[in-house]
Amino acid sequence: MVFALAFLLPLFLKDSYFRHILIMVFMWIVLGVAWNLLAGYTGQVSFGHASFFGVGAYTAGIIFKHLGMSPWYGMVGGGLIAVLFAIPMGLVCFRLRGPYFALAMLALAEVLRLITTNWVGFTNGMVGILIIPTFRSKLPYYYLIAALALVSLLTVMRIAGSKLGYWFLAIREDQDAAESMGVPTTRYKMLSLCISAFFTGVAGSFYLNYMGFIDPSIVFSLPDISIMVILVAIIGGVGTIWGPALGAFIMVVLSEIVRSNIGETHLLVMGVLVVAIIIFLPQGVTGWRLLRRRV
Amino acid sequence: MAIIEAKGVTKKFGGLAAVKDLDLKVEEGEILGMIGPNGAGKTTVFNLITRVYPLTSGEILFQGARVSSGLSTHEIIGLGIGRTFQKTRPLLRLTVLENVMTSSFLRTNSRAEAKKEALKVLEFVNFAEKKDMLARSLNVAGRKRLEIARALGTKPKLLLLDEVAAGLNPRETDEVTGLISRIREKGVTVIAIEHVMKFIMSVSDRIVVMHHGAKIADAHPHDVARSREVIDAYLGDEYAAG
Repeated sequence: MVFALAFLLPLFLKDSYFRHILIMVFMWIVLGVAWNLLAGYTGQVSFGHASFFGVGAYTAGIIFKHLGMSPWYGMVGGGLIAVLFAIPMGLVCFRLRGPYFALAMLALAEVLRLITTNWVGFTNGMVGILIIPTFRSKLPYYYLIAALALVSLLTVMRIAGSKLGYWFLAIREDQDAAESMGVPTTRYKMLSLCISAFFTGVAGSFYLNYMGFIDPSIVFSLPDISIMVILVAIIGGVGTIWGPALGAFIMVVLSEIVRSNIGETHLLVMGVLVVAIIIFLPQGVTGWRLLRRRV
Repeated sequence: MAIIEAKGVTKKFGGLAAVKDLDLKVEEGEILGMIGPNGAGKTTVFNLITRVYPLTSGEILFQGARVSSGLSTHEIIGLGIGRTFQKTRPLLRLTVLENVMTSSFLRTNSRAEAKKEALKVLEFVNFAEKKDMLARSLNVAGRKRLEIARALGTKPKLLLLDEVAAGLNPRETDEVTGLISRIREKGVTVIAIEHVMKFIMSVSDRIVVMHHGAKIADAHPHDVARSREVIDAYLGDEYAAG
């Protein structure tokens, strides 16, 4: 229903600013859903999902810059390369319990930001990578990212109702208990990470194709990507299917409203709003009693 | 044929030997009781069988095959050894049914099949009416029952029960006694650690007594209750008459 509406919406909404906002909402749905699968369902919190986002974006940029290939190939390649980065992280960190994985992810994003900044020959450094967007209209981007958001939500829905979902939840609740029920915990954490990294990487490639420009401080940003994705999931409701979708809408729209009306102090106001939501709705918006029955 | 056999199993934590040169043999279909004072190494034996810890020395055979090296915990569970935890570990934010389904998924990939199996297990342990309750809202007896259900969900050939009667009232204890006999009728071998003497005496075919990591007795319940060494180490004179 919601998505049928989403597909019809741009026919009425001709203003390209609003279309841009909606495109950002859908992109954040993909990112929120991907982070939530790993952290909300499998219990492996990541403080550095910008790593996968940036790797996806840079994959698209680099195949364009060095190989002259269309950055659209990055939409698949970026996801796969993000998985290639995810695998060693999982192999090293998932043998340990505790905050190591979250912190290692944070470090990975920073390391990648520094590498892409300084390896100028390969990445253009802070100059960034500029491409000419394929379409002038926002419509094709709108439908593409809406479809991707739909696919990511359907994927999580499918996972939640299957063995995979049950075993992810078991790992989140108690790894030792899960292991004693026969769950290969290390392997399933890895699987969750790879799926999450794939969607995040694809969204990163989309970002370059749509915006036409990336630099290391944008795509490997701690506050604008890594923290934002956590907020999207928390505000919406961690460990729920629709939570991140709702969270993406709220966060994108809220930050636009605050930014365009308040100016200089917008980050401060945004911070206060987020703190207020977390205090009053600790389960996220989908955990709000009035909504719970429907969501 | 012995379903499980421990040969010279030793586990040292630093300088302390939690289990010392333990030999243990359990026949298929048998119910073995394990008793002993706190810290005697009973739970450690379970943790060694399921490879929560590696052995310091010795070996463990399950159905004649060595399982004490090269396998991880979930692989050992996969071979057909189910276990419960003394300090229960329910998946708190899932329902009772979902908890058991998680185990059932070990033997099937189909959700419908896992649900069917899990419901069968819950019927079997007389817990079906609680299936939609969140695990975190269960009381002690409920959590112990869920531990057993979850272990049965993995379809074990050998079931390791760690103090499933502790903290239960007499009526609940009797229910668990009946449950264990029914588990045996299904052809499952059971090793049960317990402090509740009435329970362990009535349920076991044979009792092993542990003290300071070593086995000090291995006999029929009746004879164990008369052994001087066991009385001194664990039971005390009050119980000896029984």
